[in-house]
Amino acid sequence: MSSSTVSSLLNVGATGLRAQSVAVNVTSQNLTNVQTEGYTRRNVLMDPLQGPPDGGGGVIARGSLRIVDQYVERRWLGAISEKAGAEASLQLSSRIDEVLSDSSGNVGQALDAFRAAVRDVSVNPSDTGARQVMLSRAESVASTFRNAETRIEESRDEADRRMADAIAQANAIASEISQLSQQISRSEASGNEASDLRDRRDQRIRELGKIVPITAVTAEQGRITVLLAGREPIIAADGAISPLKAVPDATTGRIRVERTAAGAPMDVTSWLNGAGSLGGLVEARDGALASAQTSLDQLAFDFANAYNTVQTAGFGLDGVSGRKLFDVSATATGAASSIALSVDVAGFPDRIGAASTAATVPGDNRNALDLAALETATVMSGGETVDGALGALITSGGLSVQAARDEVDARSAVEAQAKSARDSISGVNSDDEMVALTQYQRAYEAATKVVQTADEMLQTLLQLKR
Amino acid sequence: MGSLLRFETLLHRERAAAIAADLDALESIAIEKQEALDELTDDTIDDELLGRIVTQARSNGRLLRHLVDLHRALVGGAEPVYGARGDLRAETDPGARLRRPA
Repeated sequence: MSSSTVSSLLNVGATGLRAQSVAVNVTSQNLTNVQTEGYTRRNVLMDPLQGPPDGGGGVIARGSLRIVDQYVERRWLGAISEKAGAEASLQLSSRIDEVLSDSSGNVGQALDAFRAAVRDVSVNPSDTGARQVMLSRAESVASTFRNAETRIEESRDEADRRMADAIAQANAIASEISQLSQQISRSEASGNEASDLRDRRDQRIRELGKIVPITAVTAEQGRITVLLAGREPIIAADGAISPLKAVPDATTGRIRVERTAAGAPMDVTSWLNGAGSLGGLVEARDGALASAQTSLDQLAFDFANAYNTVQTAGFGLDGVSGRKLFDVSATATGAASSIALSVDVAGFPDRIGAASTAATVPGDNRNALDLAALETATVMSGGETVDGALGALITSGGLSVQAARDEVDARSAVEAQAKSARDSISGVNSDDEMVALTQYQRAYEAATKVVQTADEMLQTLLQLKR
Repeated sequence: MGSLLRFETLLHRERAAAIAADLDALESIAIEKQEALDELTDDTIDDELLGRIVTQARSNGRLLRHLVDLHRALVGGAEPVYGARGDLRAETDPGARLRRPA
């Protein structure tokens, strides 16, 4: 065996061991990051070297490779968005429960007190004191409606403020993702490892996915395209960002989400479809909260009109009829915020229409009895009593909150499943990594054993030599 | 004489296995070498052949050390100590690279 052949063979063994050295480093890095959130397991990228006659053969480690399944990553990203959307929606929707529970207590108590006062007037139609109490209690009922409406409106306003914050945050993260993509591209183009940068970018993409539904599509040279709701890019492959914008709607005043592309704004609010915190906020604001507001308006409207209808038919102590008990909007829209004790009677207890004719005042209580009978009359939309309609409103509020809770549970389970699928591919399994390290350790021990055994045998041979 | 010749053949195989970093082969050859050495008696020793074998064994030793150095660089830590018959006299310290992180 010539010396050049020996040198060449030695090189083959050495390249293999050097490659294994890289593998140990990668395995150690995997183990160190076993608890690191967002860390992607790496494998060593080994390439065979050209064998004889042109090359010496062997193997070279080209660096490490992140173990990623794009399909599984995409599924996880989608699940993250859905979960974040459900959570944001629940957080806001639960306000309905609080508002309606509080308000139902308040409205219920105010209604009871008002009805008791109406009954007192029907017993003593000429008693100015009883009449004064009835007006005062009527104003209390109107006030509880207005308070409930204000609290729902405030929750919707809060959704608008949080949407504006979320949009600003999404734009900042998009800008970070774009910068990371450029760094990755530059780093990999110059032959350097960019796994850590890729991990950081993936982490930011997941953060962006918590705000808006996105799809990340890998492009050439380490770049990436991020599509909003799988439709249009908010980050193009060249790194250009189409920022999102919070724009107040000209009609409703509510925040809309716009994306500016090629200089033209585009309303993308409907693209969110309940996903991402932004989508969840829109869903709660325009769904459960808006619905509760509409129901409360209808309740206030029907209630006011029912009492107004009877009150206007009755005659006051001054013998005049046609006066309303409540002022309220002409349509149900805005009724809960506008309901108030009517200016017809405010400050004038004698104008309560307790009598059924002008000639029979002040002792006539027949119309007051009709007012008292409204307590059990089915005068509300849908053929309900006032109490029935109030109960239905509370029940529907509770149901929508429960539905939001169920949605969070379901979305959380899907997200956990998607994350688990991702971890089984890209997460670090410390047992597997330890097995790999143990193999390297055993090889080292074997090599040491061989050389020391050979040394001792050489000593024996030297002793034999005379 | 036969055992010594067998030992010389084993040294050639050992060299080839060391160059290829074939640890399984090296471990098996070490056992065979020990067997051949055990069979040696005074009247089977040829001085000229023994001199050749000692030279070859020294050369192989350098090669095997190189192999160990490469492995030490691979895993770090202190090397274990073994006796001529493969008995472990001091255990290895695997070093930081082979320890499970806390």
